[in-house]
Amino acid sequence: MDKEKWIKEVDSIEVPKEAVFQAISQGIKQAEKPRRKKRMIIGALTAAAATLIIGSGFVSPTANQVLAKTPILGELYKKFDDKLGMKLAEEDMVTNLNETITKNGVTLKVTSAYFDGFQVTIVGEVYKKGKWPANEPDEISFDMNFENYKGDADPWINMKSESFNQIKDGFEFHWTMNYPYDDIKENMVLPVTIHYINGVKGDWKFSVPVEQREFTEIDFAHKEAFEYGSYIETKRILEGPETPILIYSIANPDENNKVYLSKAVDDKGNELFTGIDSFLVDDSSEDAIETFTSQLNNLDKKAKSITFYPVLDRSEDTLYHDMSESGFVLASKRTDLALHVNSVKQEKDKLILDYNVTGTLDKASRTDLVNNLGYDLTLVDKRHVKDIDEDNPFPPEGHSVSRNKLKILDREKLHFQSIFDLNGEEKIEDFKLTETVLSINFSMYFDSVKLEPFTVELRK
Amino acid sequence: MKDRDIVLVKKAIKGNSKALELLLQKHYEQLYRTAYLYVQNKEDSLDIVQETAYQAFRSIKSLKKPEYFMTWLTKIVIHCAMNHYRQRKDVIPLTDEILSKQTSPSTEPAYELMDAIKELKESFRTTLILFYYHDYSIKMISEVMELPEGTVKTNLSRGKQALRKCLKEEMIHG
Repeated sequence: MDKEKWIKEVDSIEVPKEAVFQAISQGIKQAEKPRRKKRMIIGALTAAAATLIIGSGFVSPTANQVLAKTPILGELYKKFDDKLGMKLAEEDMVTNLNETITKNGVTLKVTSAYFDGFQVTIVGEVYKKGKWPANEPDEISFDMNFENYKGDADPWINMKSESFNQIKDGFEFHWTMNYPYDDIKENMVLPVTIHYINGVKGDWKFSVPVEQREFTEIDFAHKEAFEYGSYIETKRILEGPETPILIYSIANPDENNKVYLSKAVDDKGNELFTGIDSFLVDDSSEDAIETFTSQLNNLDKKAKSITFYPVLDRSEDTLYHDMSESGFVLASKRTDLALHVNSVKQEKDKLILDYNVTGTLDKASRTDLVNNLGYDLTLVDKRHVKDIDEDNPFPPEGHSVSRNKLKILDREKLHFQSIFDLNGEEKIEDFKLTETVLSINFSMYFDSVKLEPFTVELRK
Repeated sequence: MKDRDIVLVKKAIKGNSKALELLLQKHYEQLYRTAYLYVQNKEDSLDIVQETAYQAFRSIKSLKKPEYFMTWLTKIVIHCAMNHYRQRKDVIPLTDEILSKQTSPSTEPAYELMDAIKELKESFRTTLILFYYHDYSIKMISEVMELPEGTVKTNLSRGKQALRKCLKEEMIHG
């Protein structure tokens, strides 16, 4: 079997782009906030959510506030396999923009756009005679901003995905941005400014009208308070030609106690959504309030109320212990999980830790633990513990070792040996065992706690 | 690696998650397909991609030379895939893919390779994936797999042999 045949066959594996992008962003999000949820669960749920998006959600649009009407254009959406775009184009629900701007030899043609209540998609083409100053011949990059935002601090760019097709002298492009606000402003116009196209400087400016189509807003205001200052606030339901959409917010001022919705069910027993099907529309982290939209699938027309099932996700701060003692215990404050260090030995530039983990762990968490111990234990120079930001716990460079070589001594009894290389890529300057602490955070192994469900009446 | 990518890698090393996300998005097909070669179903492949992104973000600070980003990333995806595969190899998830394979005899000639590499020993499989699909040299494979070059050479030749055998069996029985 030759390389060519291999590559041809492997390249024939169909790649679900949206789902892969979602998995990438979820993985990074989890790593940024490592205490938020168990990874295995997120993994499984992401797959389900991804299927949902491809399977139903976007193919059949929901609260459909689309745009003005013009024909044609289905073709370009078809090229990018954008099924929703094709459907909307067929129904005359995309906006024909047909704007052409030429700056410094680069022609930008914005063909059309649509808005489905969740996402704004823009398609078009870009041309230039001769070579581009940047990138490979088959690559294109745009440096751009939406509205009056600048640089990376642009909520539209944050969730932008793009694809391209190479054509003669240029590219066709397809951009999709998540709508970053929780309410749809009337007659909104979205100004777009492109600063660079493939290394060519210019200012290509155009606007996309983001109009809403008929849908009615049903008041669904209710605020349910929980411990630790958390609350869930249902706001309103948008009823359009298709699936209605619920808008709700969750406030979680206490980082270590976060409430989420696991599911919602109407009084006829239909499950309307699970928490993971919700889309985060606003997560300005300053006020600890996140706003979500969620489709109410299967909502019975005669339903009188919706019952919500909240869960509490617990976590705790990272645990630290002095390494000067030879045997010690790092015990979780909220569960029975504990790390019992049996011995600490230093042999030249290796630090060898022998320990057991005890406490209640289900099978999946045990597997997680075994996979993670090589990363979860960190040695830190005592004097630099204060430099660690709990929310983004990067081990301080030059003062910590966050990797170890894990040996499983007894899988059943969770007995392990971790060998830290004190002279590897990560190191502690002037390492002294007596000046070093060991840290672990058990939060990712905590189970969620089911909270009392609450019911909100539907007022017609 | 292109200069623009190096800039992104440098940003990512400094903890810029958006830069890392862009980099992973650029290589999304390779990441997914590499994962797929181990587990051969969509759900598990997506889990591996997610785990790769998680591990990548948590450990990118340890990447000292930005130009080695791809090798480093490949190492992570391979390790995540092997881990996942080890955990899951006893469980065959009943996916639509498998169901449809069972009910209708496939007319497609494709995927004979996929079926064959499933049969290979783990170290052979990883060596072959890196050699054929990632186009890595023996030296690079030895770095990624943390094995001596001699062992990689042996794995490669024995892996090729084993693959040929599996493919032949596929043709006869498949």
